[in-house]
Amino acid sequence: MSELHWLTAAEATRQFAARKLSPVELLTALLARIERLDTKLHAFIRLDADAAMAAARAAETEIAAGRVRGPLHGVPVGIKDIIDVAGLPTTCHSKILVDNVAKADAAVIARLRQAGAIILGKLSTHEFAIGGPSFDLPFPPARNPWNPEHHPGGSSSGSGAGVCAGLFPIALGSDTGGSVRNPASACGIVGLKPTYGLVSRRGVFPLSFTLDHVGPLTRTVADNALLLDAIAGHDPADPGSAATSARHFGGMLDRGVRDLRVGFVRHFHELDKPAHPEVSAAVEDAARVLQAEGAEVRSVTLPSLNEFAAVNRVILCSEAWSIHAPWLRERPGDYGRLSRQRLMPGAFMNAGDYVGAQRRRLQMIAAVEEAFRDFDVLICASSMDPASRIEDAAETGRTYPRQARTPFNVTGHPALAMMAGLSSAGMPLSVQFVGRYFEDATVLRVAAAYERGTEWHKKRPPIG
Amino acid sequence: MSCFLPDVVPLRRDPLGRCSFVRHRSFFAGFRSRAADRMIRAQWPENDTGYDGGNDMDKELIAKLAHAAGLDKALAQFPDDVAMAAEQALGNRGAIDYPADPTAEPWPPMRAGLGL
Repeated sequence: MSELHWLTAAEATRQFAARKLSPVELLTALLARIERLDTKLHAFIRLDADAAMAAARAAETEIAAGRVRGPLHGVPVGIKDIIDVAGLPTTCHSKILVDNVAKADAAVIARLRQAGAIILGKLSTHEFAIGGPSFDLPFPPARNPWNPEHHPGGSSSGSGAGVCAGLFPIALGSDTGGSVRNPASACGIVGLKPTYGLVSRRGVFPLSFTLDHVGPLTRTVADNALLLDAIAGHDPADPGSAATSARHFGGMLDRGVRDLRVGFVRHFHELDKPAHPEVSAAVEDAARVLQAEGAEVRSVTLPSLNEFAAVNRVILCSEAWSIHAPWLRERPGDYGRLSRQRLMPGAFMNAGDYVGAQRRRLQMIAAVEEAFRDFDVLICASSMDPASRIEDAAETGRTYPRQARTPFNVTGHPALAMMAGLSSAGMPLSVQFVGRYFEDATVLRVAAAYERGTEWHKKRPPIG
Repeated sequence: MSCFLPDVVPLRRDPLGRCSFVRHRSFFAGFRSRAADRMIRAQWPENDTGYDGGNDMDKELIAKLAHAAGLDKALAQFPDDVAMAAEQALGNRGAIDYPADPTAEPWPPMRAGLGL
């Protein structure tokens, strides 16, 4: 029973159904692990152990009586602390909102409860999903289970660290410039930014309305599909929600990649932001794995990473300023330094900057859509460097922007990052797969084929 | 300098919909000229993230822009952060190939119910 913390959500629910394990036993094991490790990792801002145990007992009773509520019945899930859970504070890791208690569940939380999941608590983030990693906030930053001296990526940092360390099998994060895929890359797990509009953002504190996505972080591709199944679906209360019917996102995981055409965006890591050699090697190797599995892999060219990043920043800063201006004017000292620096640029941009970036955005979308006429999926780098030491602000500042995730916030295409190796220093390396709009299932299918073709998902951080 | 906006905005709502009294002067908010942009950019080359404090002229310009945006408190308490924010804002412009076609439309950010 000592390895219960490494059970995936899919394995746990199978064992619940077979009466080999109860939700209370699983939660008890996880709470013990959280107590032992979270003093080092700081994944949690608020652990809601009592409510979680009450939910686990209820789930145990219901499952024993044959009343299975949904595919995640009895599975604990961690929630990034920008997502509302009724009765718990949504602090956004900030002094600004430290007493902000949510009155209602976010749409994704309501869906998780319908699926039977147990809400375990609220998780560390960069302040307002942008300002971090920082040491001048009310809560400490999360740390990387592979080496707690290193950052775990962000902004969904607690989500990545907790899933990676076996504190919980699945978690929710948000992604505006790569904040689900960055911790997935840094921690060596699986993080998906779904198609824009697939998952409701109602009840999620906004950073940038047209770039924000909510997405799942898990240790396996199958769990990622399971969690996406639970949270996806149209929400008329979210103006960006798409009228798609919920799908069985794990339905194609076993189909392999033999009939797929894969576009390899090499210039991202070779020219635009030359990657660390170990990252380059890992991404090239990932392409070879897909080729060996039967995919047709050819190079493709998209607009430059630098321009994608600039468009993302102008839109993000403009929209974030419209949200934060009142607090930045009146309470600038209640923000951390990085948040101030990253949220105030919108004050110095004008309407022309914003609309111009949105106009260029449509052209960039057209360029990526053109690529998808010839390819079913794209493969590219995610982070260009392994995670740096968290207290080395200069190196973190240098490496954080060296990434290839923002293009797909700009375009809205589904994009998944997952582990693709270990650096010589023992830190995870990563790769990214990108799909057509609303073909999230195809992205998961490719990721599953890659997972089967490698052993990286079996690696565990040396944290005990 | 145009002056279309009121100097005092007596009542605002914060991002959670709570009322707060925020007073700020916005005497040229939204009317910054391209000439001003060029002045600042000349001082901070693109991609140069190291802010050295600038000269008096630039500090004055930033102060006016910050004041127009209502950031007087931030400017008084965290002048380096304000300067860094201004630098970052301007640093993006040269990196974007803005559409030359005047009919190029923006991405409609929200298409409720239809998807992308």
